[in-house]
Amino acid sequence: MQQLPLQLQPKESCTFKSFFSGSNQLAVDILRDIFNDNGEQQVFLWSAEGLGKSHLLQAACQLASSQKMTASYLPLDQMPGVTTDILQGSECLDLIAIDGLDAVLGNDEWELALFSLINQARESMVRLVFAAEKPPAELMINLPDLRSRLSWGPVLQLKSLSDDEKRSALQRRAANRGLELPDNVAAYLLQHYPRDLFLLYQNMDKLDQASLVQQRRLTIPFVKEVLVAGS
Amino acid sequence: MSDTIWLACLQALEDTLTEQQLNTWIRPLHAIEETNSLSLLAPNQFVLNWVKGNYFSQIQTIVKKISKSDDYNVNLTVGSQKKTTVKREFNRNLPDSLAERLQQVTRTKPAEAAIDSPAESFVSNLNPNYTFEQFVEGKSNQLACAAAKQVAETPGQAYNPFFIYGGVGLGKTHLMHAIGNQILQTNPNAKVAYLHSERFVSHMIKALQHKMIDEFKQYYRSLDALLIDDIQFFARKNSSQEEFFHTFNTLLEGNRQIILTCDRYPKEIDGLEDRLKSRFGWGLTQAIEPPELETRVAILHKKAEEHGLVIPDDTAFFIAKRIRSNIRELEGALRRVSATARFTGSEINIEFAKEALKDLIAQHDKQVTIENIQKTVAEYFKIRISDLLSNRRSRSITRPRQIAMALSKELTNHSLPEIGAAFGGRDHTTVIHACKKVIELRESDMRIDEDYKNLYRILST
Repeated sequence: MQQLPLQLQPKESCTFKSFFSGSNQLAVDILRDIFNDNGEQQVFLWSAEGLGKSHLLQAACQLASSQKMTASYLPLDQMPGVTTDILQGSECLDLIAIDGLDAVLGNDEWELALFSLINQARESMVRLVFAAEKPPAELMINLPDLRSRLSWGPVLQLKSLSDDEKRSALQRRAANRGLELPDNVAAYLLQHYPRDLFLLYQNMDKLDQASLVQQRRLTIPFVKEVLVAGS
Repeated sequence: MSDTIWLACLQALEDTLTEQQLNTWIRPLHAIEETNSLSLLAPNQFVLNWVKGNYFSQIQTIVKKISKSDDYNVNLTVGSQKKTTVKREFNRNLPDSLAERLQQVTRTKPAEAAIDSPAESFVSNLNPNYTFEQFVEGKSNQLACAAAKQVAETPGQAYNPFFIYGGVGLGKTHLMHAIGNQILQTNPNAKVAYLHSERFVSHMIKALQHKMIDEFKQYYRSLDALLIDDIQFFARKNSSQEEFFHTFNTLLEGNRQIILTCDRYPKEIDGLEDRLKSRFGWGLTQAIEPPELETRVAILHKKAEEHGLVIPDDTAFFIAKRIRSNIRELEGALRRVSATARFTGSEINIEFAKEALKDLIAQHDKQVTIENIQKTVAEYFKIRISDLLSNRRSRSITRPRQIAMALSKELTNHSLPEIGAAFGGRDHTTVIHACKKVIELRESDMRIDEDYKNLYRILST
């Protein structure tokens, strides 16, 4: 009989602590510092998908909340039907983190709303963090006023982790779940499955679940069995 | 005031909601706890509706459980308690501003939330940091700056309206604020209002919705100086233009100062009524050009000083040479260098800046290529790229060719032999000659100077 695990898996919270920074430490440091006196009022993060932009933006929101401040995380690429009304009253907030910025660019109404948001945020000292797949200079923006404003603060590219760093990130995630991920199994995961960290984490979660159900340790045969069955 | 109930509620929600749900819908809520009630203020109706529809009953249940009282009330409204400290700095202790009042009527504020409201303050919205002392003068802006100082000394008299135009991020807004701040310094009772044209439009719409259009008119027409930024956003907003036209006339007749900025010359604003275009030209119209290298260096030093930083000259030159598009980007680059230095405990020098700005510089170099310059110049002068590379010596070809070479020297880091080679295998001395010729021509022929500036603007932004 198969044992059903209780759904008590620790939720992977998006905090700075749970972010494996690798060569992206500067982005972490800058965001961690945004509410301090010398902190940046505006930060722009860019990279391909799956390198941790959303995690960092949400970590900044979590930081705001932990300091009894208000924060709003707006993943515009995942909010179909959202209108610019969501930006109303932004001056009341302490932090606005806009993710998936690319999704609304080219739309005049959105560009104007974002332009106004930056102006107002600067007046009201609201912190802004943007994330997109490209830097401001390469985004498809119609409004030059918006493009220049997006470059006002530091523009930082998130770099992909090296394989060694990914291995360490996986092992850390496993350890957080009370699992041991041996070096050879981590290496196997990196050699035989997609190396995008997001997908690696997904595989890790599947393995975690399966190891709980089957009461088995993480070995290469087990990985083969679970991930093939899972796929 | 204790906020333990809300904190406990947040913790309980953390166990049931995803991180994204919390960050998007719950963390924007501002909580105000009273003895027997919890008021949750949403920043806008959109968030309010979503929270109401999806999480409110859950919040109510949790709060009742934590408070151990069935009488404990949870209210959800749109509003805010946050009154920014910066706004308070702007407060000039003048009568209530319409902007602030309109903001208040558009939010259903609970009584508690209004406690902190600076009801008796006039919010000029001027940024106190934007002064003439902080403005870096250079060739590109000295005329505009001199005129601005004159306007500040004799508001409503010297140049009215004062119209500043130029590309994005070149300091138009700074200059505008500097005038406003100077006027207030001379006369602290002056009613000076700075706002972006978008804000003017939205105030007007809100005033119409709340039947406060008379107050709106009275407010704007009673100012001593009205500063409106980025007037190009009035384009195609006919009723706003109509209202602005009357405000404009009233202020001008009363010798009140009007200062406007725009990204282009008044006559070039599409979608703007002719009568406004012509009125904008009644006073003085001044352009701000992209700053030249020396000014960019001076700006960097000034900005560094503002942040308590010292950057060596050669480092400032290095950054300024590579970031040419606008001052905002220059500031962004400086912030990046300073943050990197702060977190790595490094000293700022040229090698450090090179490393810190590696990707930004790579992007810039990618954007402005000789090929791109040739293509843009050819399109601008309506000739073919092959003409630029050919041996043809007619003036209609040599002038664009010389301009393209000069721009290649200015905007790329290619060596002169490389530039010469890219223009049909010419010698580097030809490039030197072209650059000299363009300098001479720009001084003697306004039209060529204008062409050069236009092309520079197109290529560097």
